[in-house]
Amino acid sequence: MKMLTKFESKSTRAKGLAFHPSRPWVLVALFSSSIQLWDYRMGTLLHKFEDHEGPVRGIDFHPTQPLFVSAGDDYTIKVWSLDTKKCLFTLNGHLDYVRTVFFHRELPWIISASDDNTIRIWNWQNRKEIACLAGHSHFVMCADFHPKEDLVVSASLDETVRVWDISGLRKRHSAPSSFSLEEQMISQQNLLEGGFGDCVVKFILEGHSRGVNWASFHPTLPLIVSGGDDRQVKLWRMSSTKAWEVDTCRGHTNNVDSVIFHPHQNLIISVGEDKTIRVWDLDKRTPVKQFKREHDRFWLARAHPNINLFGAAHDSGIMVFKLDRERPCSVINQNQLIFVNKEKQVQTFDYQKKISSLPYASLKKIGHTWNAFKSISYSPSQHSVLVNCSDNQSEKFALCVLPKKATGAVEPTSVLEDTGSFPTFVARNRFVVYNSSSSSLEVRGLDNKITKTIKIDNDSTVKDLVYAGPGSVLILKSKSVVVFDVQQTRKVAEVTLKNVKYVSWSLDGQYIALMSKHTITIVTKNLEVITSMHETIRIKSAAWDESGVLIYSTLNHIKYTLLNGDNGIIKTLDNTLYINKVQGKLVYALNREGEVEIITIDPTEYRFKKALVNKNFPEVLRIIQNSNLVGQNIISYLQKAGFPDIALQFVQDPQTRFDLALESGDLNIAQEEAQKLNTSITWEQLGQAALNQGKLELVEQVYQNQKSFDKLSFLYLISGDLTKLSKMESIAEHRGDISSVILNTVYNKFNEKRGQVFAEAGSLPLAYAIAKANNQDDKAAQILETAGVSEEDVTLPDQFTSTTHYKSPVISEPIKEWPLEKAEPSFFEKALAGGMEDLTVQDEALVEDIQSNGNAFAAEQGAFSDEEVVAEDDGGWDIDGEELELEIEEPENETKEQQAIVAPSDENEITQWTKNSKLPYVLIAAGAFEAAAQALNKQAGLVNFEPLRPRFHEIYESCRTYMSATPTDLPSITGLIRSNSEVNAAQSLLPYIAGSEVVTSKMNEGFKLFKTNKLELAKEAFRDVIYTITLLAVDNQEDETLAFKTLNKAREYILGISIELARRSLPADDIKRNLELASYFTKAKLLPQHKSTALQVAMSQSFKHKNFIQASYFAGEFLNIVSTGPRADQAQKVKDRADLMANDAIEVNFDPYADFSICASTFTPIYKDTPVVTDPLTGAKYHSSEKGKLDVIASVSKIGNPASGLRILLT
Amino acid sequence: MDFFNVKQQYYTGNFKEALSYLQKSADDNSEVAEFYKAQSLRAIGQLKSFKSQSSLGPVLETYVAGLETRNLVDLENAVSKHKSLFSLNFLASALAAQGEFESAIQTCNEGLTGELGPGATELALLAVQISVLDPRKASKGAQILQNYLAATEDTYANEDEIIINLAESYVNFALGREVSGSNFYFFEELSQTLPSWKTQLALLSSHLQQSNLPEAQAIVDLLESEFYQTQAESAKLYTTELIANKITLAAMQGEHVDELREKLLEISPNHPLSQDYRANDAKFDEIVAKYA
Repeated sequence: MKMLTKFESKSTRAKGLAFHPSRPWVLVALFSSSIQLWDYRMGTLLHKFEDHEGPVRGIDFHPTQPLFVSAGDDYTIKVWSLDTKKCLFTLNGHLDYVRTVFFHRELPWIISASDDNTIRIWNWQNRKEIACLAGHSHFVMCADFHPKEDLVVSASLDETVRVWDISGLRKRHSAPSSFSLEEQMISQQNLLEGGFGDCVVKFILEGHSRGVNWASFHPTLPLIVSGGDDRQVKLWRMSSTKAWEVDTCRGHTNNVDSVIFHPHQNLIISVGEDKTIRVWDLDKRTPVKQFKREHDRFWLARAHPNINLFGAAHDSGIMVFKLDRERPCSVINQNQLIFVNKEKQVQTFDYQKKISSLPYASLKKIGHTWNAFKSISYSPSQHSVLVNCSDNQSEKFALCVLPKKATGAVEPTSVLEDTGSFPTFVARNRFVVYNSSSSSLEVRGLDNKITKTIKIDNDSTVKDLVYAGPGSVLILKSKSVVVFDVQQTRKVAEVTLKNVKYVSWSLDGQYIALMSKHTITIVTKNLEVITSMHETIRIKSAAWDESGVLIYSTLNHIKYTLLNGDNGIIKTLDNTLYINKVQGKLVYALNREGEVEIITIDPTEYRFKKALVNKNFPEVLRIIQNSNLVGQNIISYLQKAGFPDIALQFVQDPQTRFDLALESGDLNIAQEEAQKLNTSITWEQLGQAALNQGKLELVEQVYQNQKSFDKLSFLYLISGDLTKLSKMESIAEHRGDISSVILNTVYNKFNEKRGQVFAEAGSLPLAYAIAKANNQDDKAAQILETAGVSEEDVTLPDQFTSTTHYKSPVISEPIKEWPLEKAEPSFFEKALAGGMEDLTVQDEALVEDIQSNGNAFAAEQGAFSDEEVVAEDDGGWDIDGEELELEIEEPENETKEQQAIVAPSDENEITQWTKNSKLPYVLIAAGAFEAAAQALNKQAGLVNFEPLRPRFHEIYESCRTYMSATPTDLPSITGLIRSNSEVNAAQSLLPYIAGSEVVTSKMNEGFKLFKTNKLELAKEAFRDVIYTITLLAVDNQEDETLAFKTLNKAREYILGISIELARRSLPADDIKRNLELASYFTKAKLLPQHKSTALQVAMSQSFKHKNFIQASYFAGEFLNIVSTGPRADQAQKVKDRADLMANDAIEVNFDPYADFSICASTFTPIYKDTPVVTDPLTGAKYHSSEKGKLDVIASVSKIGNPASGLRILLT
Repeated sequence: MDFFNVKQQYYTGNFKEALSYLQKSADDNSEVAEFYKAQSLRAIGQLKSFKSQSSLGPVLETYVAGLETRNLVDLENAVSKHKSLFSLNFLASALAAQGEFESAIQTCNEGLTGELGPGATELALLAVQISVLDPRKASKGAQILQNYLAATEDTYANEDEIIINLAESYVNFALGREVSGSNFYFFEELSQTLPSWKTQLALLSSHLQQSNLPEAQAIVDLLESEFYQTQAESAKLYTTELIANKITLAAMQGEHVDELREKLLEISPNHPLSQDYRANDAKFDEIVAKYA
């Protein structure tokens, strides 16, 4: 048997302790008057409870409630709350020291034992004493309830142990309602009299020759164990009518202060002032084990109510320990786990069938009865196991041949026992054992004959041997790990690592996880360290999964680690498990009962991280698409791991997005988010980032936004923008900022102005100096005259020369951007950008499309195969020669020579456009209007094309320019405008494409009109935005995402404006609808600055019509956006007033806290879980009754039309 | 006589200057002189003052009349009586102006396959221009030019350099070649050395082809400035082109162009842009009807 210390606290004398039933907490009652609460797993002091005056002796946790009770020399019993960490109440009654307190396991009772010779029972719910058990004639040192029966056992210095029957007490108190009034009166009477009669002495156990300090019931058997100052531990048996002494355990050399039964094994544990903990065999009453401290007397022993842990209180603190190891030993052979169960029987577990076998053999007779085996090793050749059954006293092993079939716990057919440690098979018929006396490895055959003895370095203690492939072992030493080739007798590799206890080989044999108590080190098979990590909680076991991820268990978690050290928690465990194999989502582990448990885990997180680390972006994408991978954890991981761009895809919060965008260098997103955040810090950060990237236009915007005039001037100076620089001068003047004016004149070399400023400010000498330095003699003379001095009066510096260091600008155009090479988007960015949103809203065809990425067209056809099929060639698109006149007429007189001259790619550029892209935009540019219309119908359900007529023409016209011929009677010559005039390769030819800046400028126009309350015009402007995006082409996913976002934004504005216009057109007396529409207007997702307007409308309308609760809500929302200024002040006033009134005069159909969208045509709420149809183009939501009608947002598409999703990205 | 300056001015749209150079040798009755004189006068609307002294006279008369009446029988007769390269030039021009491009090219080929003399380069230019009218067939223009240069073995007269360059630039323009290279430099140089409505417009088109929108806008502004607007004859000739390119410029910037297009449709219903618009609009009507 081995005593494994798990925790030790250092303090003054500890007189009592108690284990929390479920959490890793232990309470310690100290002689110094305080109570400590420790987390024994983490080794941290959680709290100190101070309320007792004088030593605390008794302590106990409530079995289920967050309560504990304490008692001490201040005669009091205190009940404490674990939640508030406060004493809830004090029970007074005892007239002397209280020695012990315990909760009843079911009833709301507390039992206490005191030096006042009494035992008292208390009801902690009504805080009353319900019984006082008098009878002992000396101090009562201990009293506790029986775990199941209505009995109490007590020990006293009067040399007796008494057993009390308290069944009467239970009757009286368990169901008071059944008592008649009369009976209740009597019970009250009884109580006042001290409850005599309810509790009677059942047995008085006499046998100790000195005072008895402790007595405990056996958890299941009718046994009592007691210990006293006579240094003896006595065992008593009782029947229903009598009790008698069974035996005495002698050995303690001083007073025995506490003695308990082992909760599961036939053992007795006693502690005493002889500074020992002693373990006794209950059946034989013989000593099994003793543990001695040098200087500390033990005062109390206690068992954990649920798990295999014990605690002992002593003079300088407590110790928490375990008796013997609980790890069932096991070994894997092919697809089988061979393990030893709790009863020391060998079983196997089949990983394929997932079943455990019957026991093959019982190994109970091997080694010491109370000793668990340390490890086993298996050889299939004889179906034999090597058992390591060493203990502290001796090094022993056994070689057992198991029966061929599992038939039950029979004796093994052949057992060889011998001296030696860590027996390990190194071949089918060879094993090694370590002989510590000679520091050598002995190689033995199956007949146990030593075939070879290998002396190994004796630099540090050998702790274990582990199989390391045929003919090799890993020698785990206290300071290092060695790979040792037993066959060749040589050390292959060594790594310095302390106290490695367990080892797990990866499935491919390339990596080894070496585990000590708190550290996992992953090394290669040659012991080169890959990574090392520390765990606060003790590491218990590990196994590798098929993909090379290490899954390991700690006391309470299953975790993973990648080879790069990235790790995380997979699952929290209720009970400690020892993992032996991981297969996909299944983890196989042995529990402490020696049973195999199969746990299902979610491997998504580590697979995702692994794919990221390996840059396996298709896998990353697949995981994102198929799993719910969200949460702060994954975002911060992505950020730390250097994938802020990917993290961006998961985040909505503007601040986080902003930070991530800055980190990934995506200034567009950063700018977008900065606008939302609109704080000076954000702008400053953005400006800095833009400057670093040389995006001077953005820097300019930021400075303008922040009104950083001087910075702006300097920016114009360095970028050579002289025009704007001179404007800055005017602005500075306008602002009356003299120093800024001067600064700008320096930048501008506008000396005259500078002189003038100085002259006007009265600094004539400076003005003169400037004039003189710039050879403006007239000016200089004028200044002299003003100053009333002559030139002779002025003394100029000796080396006075005209300014010469000014150089004319070398650049003609201001620099807008540093010419940096544009980074190619990664596969992931390409695949993900824009795709994420689509994934949720669009059909599967598009998802496939994103995955296949090349066969976009085919995917679309597949999705609509039941409809009119779009042929693979141009046929379906009506791009035939007749309509487009795309056919080439070969000149009749063409010669071979001519053919050679003409490059075929030039033959027909327009045909080439349509070959290169089938986007509606390109088709329109090529004049294939019908094909474009067909595509738009399929992609976005367009049916009403009329509003798009101007865009069709404009797109066509935007890629043609005309040059007059000579003479002008001839028709003009048409030149095509390409998207990139530098590109000539046929496969890259595309028409000119008005970029997304067009969308931005139209959107801004809409904002302007909205701001100026020209709502009708604004609505048209936003519609124009939608039309433009519908017929847009972009060449990167960033722009595509932006375009779709803008489309959504435009939709929200149109919806909001339409609601507001409808509200304005209401008759004045329709107040209810007015209020509803005003409320719905606020639901449109407008930019904050515009949303505030909607909120203001709703707020004032609600307030005006006495809907104060709603007014307060809108005012609150408004204040979230606008927190300062007169509008905010007004909103605050409204809110304050409305909050005072706090009622709504008119009931409206608007619940700000409900989840709903607004039907774009009826302007009524569509609550969650009610049928809804969506417009395929604008994404506007409608009641299902609107299906098939024309979308009112853009008036071009049919609501609920099947559609594959608008395409605008050039591929 | 050296026609270098005449041709330089004529092909850059400076007709008055071309006439003034022609005036210096007023007694030159060669077909070359008469061709340029007549075309220049016609461009500035003063053809009535011109009296032909050469055998090109009847061709010219029937040419002018044919353009008005859209009946080319007289012209064809006149040309058949006097088959010079210049008379073929007039005939081909008239055919092209009426949209009979194939016949026009055939007429040019007739001249170009025979003996080449004065007027051949002009005819080649005409053939090139006609063949690149449809950008979808522009490569044919390149062939014609190549053939011509091969035939003359690059030995054309110095004064014809501008014609060859112009032909080449039309081909490049229509085929989108050398957009930001030699074609741009050619137009830019012309517009600087011989600034005129025509050269500015050519540069404008070149900028549009390069998507240089601010530069294009600057030229539009320039042509709409007083300096150019007061050049009434040129303005009359080239305003159509300015409007057409303004439409392009506006459309490239995503602006709506309805008003400009209305104007163009009114003043030049036969402009390629107007023709395309009408054809496209009809197509669009069908689409609207089909999906409604």
